Amino acid sequence: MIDLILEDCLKDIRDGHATLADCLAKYPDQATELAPLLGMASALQAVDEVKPSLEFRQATRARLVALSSQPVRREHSRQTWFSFMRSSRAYAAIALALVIVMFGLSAAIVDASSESLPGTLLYPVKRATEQAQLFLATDAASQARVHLQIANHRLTEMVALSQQGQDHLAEQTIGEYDAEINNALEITTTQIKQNNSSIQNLTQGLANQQKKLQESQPSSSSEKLVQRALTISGKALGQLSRIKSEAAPSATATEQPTPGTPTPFPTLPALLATPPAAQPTIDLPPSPKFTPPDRGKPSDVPKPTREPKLIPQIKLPNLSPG
Amino acid sequence: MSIDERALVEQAIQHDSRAFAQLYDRYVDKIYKYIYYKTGASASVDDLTAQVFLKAWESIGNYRWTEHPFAAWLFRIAHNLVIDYYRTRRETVPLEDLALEDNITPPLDELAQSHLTSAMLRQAIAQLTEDQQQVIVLKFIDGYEIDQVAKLLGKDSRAVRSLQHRALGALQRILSKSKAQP
Repeated sequence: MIDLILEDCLKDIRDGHATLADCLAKYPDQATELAPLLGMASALQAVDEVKPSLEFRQATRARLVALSSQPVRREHSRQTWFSFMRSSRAYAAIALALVIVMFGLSAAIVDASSESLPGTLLYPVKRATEQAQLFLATDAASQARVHLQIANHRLTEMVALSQQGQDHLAEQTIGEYDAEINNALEITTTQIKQNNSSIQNLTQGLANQQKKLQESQPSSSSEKLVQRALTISGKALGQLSRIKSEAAPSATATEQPTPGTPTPFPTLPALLATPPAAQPTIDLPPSPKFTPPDRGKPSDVPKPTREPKLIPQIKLPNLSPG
Repeated sequence: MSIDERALVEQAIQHDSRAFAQLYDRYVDKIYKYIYYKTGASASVDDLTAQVFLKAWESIGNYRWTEHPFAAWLFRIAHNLVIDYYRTRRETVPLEDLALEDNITPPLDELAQSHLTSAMLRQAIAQLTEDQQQVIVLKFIDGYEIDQVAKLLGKDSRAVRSLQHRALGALQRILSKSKAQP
């Protein structure tokens, strides 16, 4: 009975035929039970809307259209495809092709976009290329590597923006740097028990970023931003260190290190084996000029595309899948 | 389900890429939200969403239009991918963490008065039973009607209404508890 009454109230409120108070008055015997349920439903309607990014939608659509022009893959051909996809050169080539197809741009324009900054004409192309690279990174190690590369882009942009005095964009960029590092950390953490090379790559990449930041000799005006980037990367390194410590017993048990060897990952010379694409580099200009305002952490990823707002009444979307 | 959609599906079965692209446009947001609220790692949402449509395209030739709508088939693919995701990538949540406390007095409308973020909701939804999760996401996030949710889940409407009742109650208790323990 209460199930029917609840649904009746939800419909009435959604259609604007009643308010929450009207429903409670209409069903006084069930009001105590109904109130928190309707309140919960109301809160659900006010939650941030989550949507895929435009870049993701376009990239996936382009990939589907591209696939649909070919015969449906069989299992053996899929293995060949994924073998090809493991190559970082393949990632870059296909991502480039995707962006060219999506935006009808020349390869030269896409290449030029790599130096672009937020707010410029080519910047969306740069971001779309990054998303395409992420989309094409099918295994966790590749995804973490791409996130680290993107973090590197954000750092470079942050310094350039600070030089131009674009405080707001620089602040946004450092927040995105934080988000990319967190993405790389999250992916690496899930993989750590299976593959130590991922954490080695991420550790090395973060260490490289820290080194460049420390060598950047920022001006006093941009020192705060650089310090903040150092804090983000330092915090990530600390977290990785803890993860390594926790994973070390199982790793050493299976890999049989030389007794007395202090390094927690003795069998993987990953730093030397890492291809150039996995070694992030950052060119920091010597004298950035920027005075950043204080700002909190970036929001959760993926970011809701709609501004959060509180809807006092239940308002279910009038949506039909048919 | 509209005739329009049935025609699109029939064309997609014949590997008409434009028809399939229209189906993609129609469902990508819903599938994305479904996966977002069913998984805990944001980095995987894009990947899993893309996989749903790639798998759908690969196996669209096997789809036969029955009383079950195309959306049900698509959500089934998403559901199976989420299960695979948890099997391979996520540690099991201890049962004791899922237990609900029944003796908490629910603060009336408190949740509606404070902003509920998508991240908070995702964490709370993860603590519901599988069926409750499906109903909350399909009904309140994806915006389907009760009858449509019933078709998507292959259940009757009465069972879905009951699930809706229990799911809202459980969610309210979980969020009240999390608010009480900042």
